[in-house]
Formats: sequence, structure tokens, C-alpha cells
Amino acid sequence: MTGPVVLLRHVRIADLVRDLVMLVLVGTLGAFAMLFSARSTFDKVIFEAALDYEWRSSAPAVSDTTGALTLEQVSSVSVARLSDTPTGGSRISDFEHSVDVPALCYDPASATQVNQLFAGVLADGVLDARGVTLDEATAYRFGLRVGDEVGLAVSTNAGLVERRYPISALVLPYLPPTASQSSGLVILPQTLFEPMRSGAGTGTAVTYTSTPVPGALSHDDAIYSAAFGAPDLTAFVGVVLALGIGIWVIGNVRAVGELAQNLAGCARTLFAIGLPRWKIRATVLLIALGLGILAAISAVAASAGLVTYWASYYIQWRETVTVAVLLAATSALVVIPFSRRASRQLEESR
Amino acid sequence: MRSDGRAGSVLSLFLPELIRLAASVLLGASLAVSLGFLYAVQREIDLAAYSDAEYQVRSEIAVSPADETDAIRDFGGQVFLDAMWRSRFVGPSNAEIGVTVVMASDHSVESSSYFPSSARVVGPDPAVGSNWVDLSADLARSLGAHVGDRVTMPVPDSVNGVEYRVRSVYAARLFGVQNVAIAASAPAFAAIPGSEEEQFLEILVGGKSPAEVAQILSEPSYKKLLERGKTYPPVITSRDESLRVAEAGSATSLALVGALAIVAIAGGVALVAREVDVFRRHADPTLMLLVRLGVNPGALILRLALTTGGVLAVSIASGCVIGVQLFRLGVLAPCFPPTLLPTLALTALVVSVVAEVFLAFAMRRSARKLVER
Repeated sequence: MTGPVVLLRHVRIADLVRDLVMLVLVGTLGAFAMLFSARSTFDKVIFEAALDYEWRSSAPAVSDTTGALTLEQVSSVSVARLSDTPTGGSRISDFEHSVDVPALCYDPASATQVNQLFAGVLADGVLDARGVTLDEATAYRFGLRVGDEVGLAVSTNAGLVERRYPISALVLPYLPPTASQSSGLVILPQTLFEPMRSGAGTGTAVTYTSTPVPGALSHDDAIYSAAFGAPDLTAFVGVVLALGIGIWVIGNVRAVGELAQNLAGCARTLFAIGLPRWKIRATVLLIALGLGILAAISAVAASAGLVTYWASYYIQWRETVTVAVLLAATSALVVIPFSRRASRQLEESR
Repeated sequence: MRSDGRAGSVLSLFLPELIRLAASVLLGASLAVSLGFLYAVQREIDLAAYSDAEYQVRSEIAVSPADETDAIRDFGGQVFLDAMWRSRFVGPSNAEIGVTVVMASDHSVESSSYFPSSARVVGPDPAVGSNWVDLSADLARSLGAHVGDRVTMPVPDSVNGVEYRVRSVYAARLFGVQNVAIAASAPAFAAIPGSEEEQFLEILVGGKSPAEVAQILSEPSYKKLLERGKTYPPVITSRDESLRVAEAGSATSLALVGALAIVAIAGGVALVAREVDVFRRHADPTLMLLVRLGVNPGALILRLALTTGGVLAVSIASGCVIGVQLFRLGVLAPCFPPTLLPTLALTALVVSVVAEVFLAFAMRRSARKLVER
């Protein structure tokens, strides 16, 4: 153990701290752009992939399709956080700060199938016929949790018809699979939507089945469409990811190169007095990897904090973890060739 | 003088370190610019029609082409009269794109339109005549059209359609709508059957308040026409109000733009500071050796500092130019808005000054070491 410890003692802490600070700042920039730019595609793909169905059709259930589940999709329901009123009612002014989201209404009799369909996207609580389910991003926007009450409203000819319902569950952030600005989702039983239906008409029927019906979209195709359905967006996200990783690679290459150069003299001496090459290589590799991973985690945490708390956009923790893993893996890919080169140089010095 | 000359010639010994410094700063600056301005560019394009335009008030109106000169006079001259159409354009690449077309009256003052002159990316082409069309940068990219190119607006039951020539391209959108064009109305009115009944239904007025515009529109001649179209009282909006609506509808917030810009500047400065520090550490042994060999230390440090300072400034400036070119490729955004160039230049200047300060400290430290030894 003495050799690696000697090598560790030769690391200049001031240089390491300087490079760590540089890596964290550069990584924060790359991760910020990556997290924000990729979030809509990420949310779409994750939500679509987590739904449990095989075929989806924009038509009512075909009578001979066993086990089909048909939901009613309403294009726009206003969601708002209601202020507390002495009567427990809501105020129209609350809806001045509302957001319009699509809604999915289900027949309470098919609660088992609904729970099965959404089991993978459930983030908190249970889908319950006595309450409504919101997506995480909308709930975050209004500071709502499971158990809180939320205001829903539908615009009718007679004005705004609004109701106050408890939140029974939260699902993952939702964006329609096709390119669209409107995001967010509310899932509720038809019994709760019925009082707001006046003037709102009937929504579109969406049927989820385990057997193909004419015109149905397979689950795999829906996931593919969510990922690549908007070529402009796909190209934009791809380029931002490349730029973010690019600046991260530059930082890593510079930091690791400097580290290897600083330790080269000590490593040569230790190698000359008999320390195995693999121990030297492993020590350099561990220091460089440690630096990269620490910087990656710090950078992604900082950027996620900036996006969420400063800019007030919701980012899934799953996406945050994915970007952190991506940066850490990139660090490893940069470090390994450097340690190999340093190892070869040791061999040549002999 | 002799030692000064040697100090100059020995600078070539630092060439590999200078190249490494230049390459790192250049790459870092170009990536920091492209990432740091990512959403500032989108926001600028989203809001240009409201933040930089010269009109003050937008209102509904009903004016036939025959009465346009009277209307322009009534509203004080600084007026843009138009009719907004939904149509399709076919460009040089034969792509057919759905477009929001603002059909401008012949006598409108163009500086009062939705496309502010400060947001003009290319143009105007003086060779383009009365069949002009100005395109948003998004639309120009989708159509594959450049200034001077022909674009066609298909007309139902007609083989040829209305042919326009692109006069200018602007970094602007209307309430988030990307494919927008402002076109001369006369060619369309002449080519489309029944368009002689067309009216200009929107007016953008400069130099007047919403109340003054409302006052003019309450006069019988305007009121009668508006009532006939069931648009009285008309919706009158100030430009500031439109800006607030456009800001709310923009996919990017000021907080997001600000946060990303600050992180980009911090990241860029950290990278430059780190590279300067590494450069100094690597240069120190060579400096020491040269001084021992008799080179004047003062002249050597001064020349090295000036050369490195120049390399830093050129690398940062070149990095910014490459960053802007990445936007002009069209994947990150349809263009780099000219209104953001002063901000970019100021940022580059500030980062360059900070880099030079770091360098001055680094060189001072090297000089002290030389004196001490």
C-alpha cells in the first residue's frame, strides 16, 4: 500500500481543487443545457414507455376486443391552486393563474384496468375514484402534493364551471407524444368530470388493447414517435447533447492531462524501485475518476438546482441521474486512455 | 537592446504551450457561447416583434385599399395597415409550408411593422421590386429561401399562384408562430379572385397612445365599418401589453436565460483562468533557464505577457465568432439575432479583460520567482 500512498501524497491539492472548480463550472454549463433541452423528449419517452398496453387506437373499443380499456380524452381542463376561502369554495380569480392541460377520464368500473395501465407512471399515491391524479410537473408548478385539493375548471357557454377535488395520486410529467406546447395531465373518473361537462361536449375516445385493431398504433411505435417524431427537435437535442459533452470532455482532457504530468516523475521513481505498473495505473485512474465523478455529480446537482429553483422548470430526478451518469461515463472514457498512455510511458522509461 | 532582441527570439520556445492555451480557450469559448446563448437567442427571436418594434399600439380596423391613404393620414402617418392571412408558400426547395402572411398596404410605413429593422438578419435586396416579401428566419430556413429568391403563394384554381421575391429575412416571430411573412398586398389582391373585397383589418400605430387610437376609431367613418364587421369596440393593445403576452407564451423565461448566461460566463472564466495558471507553471522552468543564460528578465516577462495576452484575446474573439457560426448552421436556432451581437461583444470584452487580469497576476508571480532566485 505504501507506493499508492506515496503517489497520492504527490498530488498537488491546490491544482486538484483548481481543476475540480473548473470542471464543476464547465460541467454545470453543459449539464444545464442538456437537462433543459432534453427534458421534453425525456419526459415523453419515459411516460410513453412506462404505460402498460400493447396497442392504442383513437377510436372507441371494438366490441370483440376483449380486455380493451377506453378512456375519454378532453383537450383542455384548467388546473389551479385554490386559495383558502371561509366557505371552502373556490374563487374565479384563482384561475387567472391556471394552466390548461389535457384530461383523461375513466369509467370507475374499469378502475382495475386503469391502475394496470398507469402502474408504471405512478410517482406517488394511488389512482382512486374519489380523487384526481395530476402529473408531477403541474403539481410542482402549484406546490401541490397528494392529499391537497386542486381546482379544475372547464370553460362553457355559461362561463367557467369549476370544482375542488382532492389529489389522490401523482404520475410522471406528461407531454403528448406528438410535438406540442401543451404539457401536463389530469386523470379523473367520469363521475368527477360529469359536473363540469355542461357545454364542454364529449372528448376523444382512446382505446388501449392487448390485440391489434385496425388503425391502432403499437406501443413500440408510440415510443419511437415520442423519441424521434419531431426531427427538428431531435436534431436540436442531439446537437445540445454533443456541445454539452464537448465542453465536459475539454475540461476532463485538460484536468487529467495535467494530473498525469504532475505525477509522472513520482510514478517513474516508484516504478524504478519495483512498484507494479498496475498499481501505479490504478492509483492514477482512481484519482482521475474520483475527480471526474465528484465534478459530474456536483455539476449536475448545481444545474438541476438552477433549472428547478431559479428558473422554476420541473426536471425529473430520473433525468438528472441520467445526465450525471452520462457525464461520469464520459469522464471514464477520457481517463482510461490517459492512464494507458501514462502506463506505456512508464514502460518506455525503463 | 541585445537582450531585448534575444527575449523576442526565445519566445518561440513557448510556442507549444501557447498553441495549447489558444486551442483550449478557443474551443472553450466557442462551446460556452453556443451553450450560454442557446435560450437567449430563442427568447430574442420570440420577443423581437414586441420589444424592438417601433409601433406603440395595435388595433382592429376595417379599411378598404382605396381608403388607405386617408386612414394613414388620420392616424398621424406613422402607420402600418395590414390584413393577416393563413396561406401556404412554396420555396426554391419546393417545400410547401403553412404561413401566417401579414398583407401590408402599399402606403404603410415599414418601420412601424412587426419586423423591426434592428432584427434584420439579411437584406434588403434593392433589386426586389413591388412583389416583395419579408420572411421570418424560421420560414426562410424551412423554405430554403435566401434574399432575392422567388417564393410562390399558391392560389386555388390557378396554375401560377402569386409570385414574390424575398427582400429581407428577420429574426422575429409572432406570438411564437415561427413561419411568418410580411408581403406586399397588391400582387395578392390582383391575383386572387374576389380579393377586391378585401380590407385591411389590423393597424399598427406609432407615436400615439391606446386612448388616442380609440378616439380616432370612434369617429363615425371608422365606427360604421367596424360595426359592420361586428368588431366594435375594437380590441386595442399597447405594444407593452403584447410584449407581456409574448413573454408569457415564450418557451424560455428571463430567469432561464439569465441563469444559463451566468453559468456560461463562470464556466468560460474558470476554464481561461485555469489555462493561464497551467501556462504559467509550464513556462516558469523555461523562463528560469533563459534568465540564467543571460536574457533580460524584465523584457522577457513583458514580451511573454504581451504575446500571451494577444493570444488570449484573439482566441476568445475567435471562439465567439465560431459560436455565432454554430447558430448560423441552423440546428440550434434559425439564425443569430443581430440585436444580440452587442451583448455578445460586451461579454467577450469582459471575459477578455478578466483573462488579461489573471494573466497579469500570473506573470507578476513568475517575475517575482525569477527575482527571488
